[in-house]
Amino acid sequence: MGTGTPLSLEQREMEGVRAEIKGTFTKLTDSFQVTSWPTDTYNCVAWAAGDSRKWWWPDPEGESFWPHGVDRQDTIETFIAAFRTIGYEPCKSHHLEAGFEKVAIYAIGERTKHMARQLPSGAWTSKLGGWWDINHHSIDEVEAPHYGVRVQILCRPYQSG
Amino acid sequence: MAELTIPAEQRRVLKKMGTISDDAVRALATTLERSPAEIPSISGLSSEDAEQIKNAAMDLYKVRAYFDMEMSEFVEAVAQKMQETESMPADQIANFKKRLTKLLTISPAATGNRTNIWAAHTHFDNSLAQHLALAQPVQDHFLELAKRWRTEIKTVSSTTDMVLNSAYQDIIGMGKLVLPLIFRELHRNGGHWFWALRHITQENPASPQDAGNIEKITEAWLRWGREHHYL
Repeated sequence: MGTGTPLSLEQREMEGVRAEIKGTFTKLTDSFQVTSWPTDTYNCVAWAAGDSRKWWWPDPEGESFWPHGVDRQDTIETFIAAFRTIGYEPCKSHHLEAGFEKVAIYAIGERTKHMARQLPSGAWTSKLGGWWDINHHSIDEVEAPHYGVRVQILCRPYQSG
Repeated sequence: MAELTIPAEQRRVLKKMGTISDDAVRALATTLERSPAEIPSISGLSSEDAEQIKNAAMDLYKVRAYFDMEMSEFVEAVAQKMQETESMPADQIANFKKRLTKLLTISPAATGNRTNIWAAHTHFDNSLAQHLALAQPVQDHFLELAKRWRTEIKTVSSTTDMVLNSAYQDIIGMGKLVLPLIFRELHRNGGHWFWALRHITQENPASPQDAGNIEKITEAWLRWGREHHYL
């Protein structure tokens, strides 16, 4: 499972960062945590897939990584297909289930905008584009006008260490 | 007046120009007028130095034309930059201005022919682009757009949304002129500049196997930028 760069910030700086993130994602509760530095090495999709070395996206020009053989379109269906290549299948519940890890797809209409991954604690982790990684208690806290809403849960038997 | 920022490599060449003989300057000027595609053969000057000085003069000629500056004003601006950045002594500055004026002053009869020949030398366009792009107004506009782009796409994961951003598209619209600035930005701060670079240059030095590997794609582009004199 990929890990972001460990974070060490002075409290005052951290407060500023948290305020900026909360200003962008207004549904975030105070319990959210900033867990790594901003980086454009990987994005939310890569992070959900456990890869912190690549930028995943189905861009038609092939600049970003996308699993071989899966259509390069940003529809919800192609994201489901991409995550099938690493063992995920659609499921209904986003609640923590022993033995399963889960990811969530967020979309505006049919266009995928974000993904998050469930942590063993039941909380969720999101990489915010090329910005920070955060842990958030509830799956819906990163719903925002530019990310849309949660539209699909995928799960697979637990594979992380 | 547009402020000129002369790249370090060009400054080193221009500094040499301040030290060559009057005869060498005359010979260079003749080459520029009559056969600019050739490497001038000048006693007391290596062919490499002669060619570098010739190329620098051609670049400055284009820059002056671009900014539509009076010769004396332009020469003064270049000399001032040389004095500031290269600590060129005052007595050398006077000679430098005289020589630069000589090299940039052309025979009207030869203008059309020479301009066409110069235009064919696309190799020089990259260093010309550096002069132009590093001119303050262009640089300011680019940095403003780049900042706006970074702010607007900071939470975006979609490569497509990132490159369709209006500030990013405006940067692409600035064309080859901003290549040195994009390369500098990529070198200093990283970022997904690859789509813009690909569309402006019509090249793609990154390997398809490295799709999504931002570090490797960045390395490939920076190498390409250096090879093509944008960095």
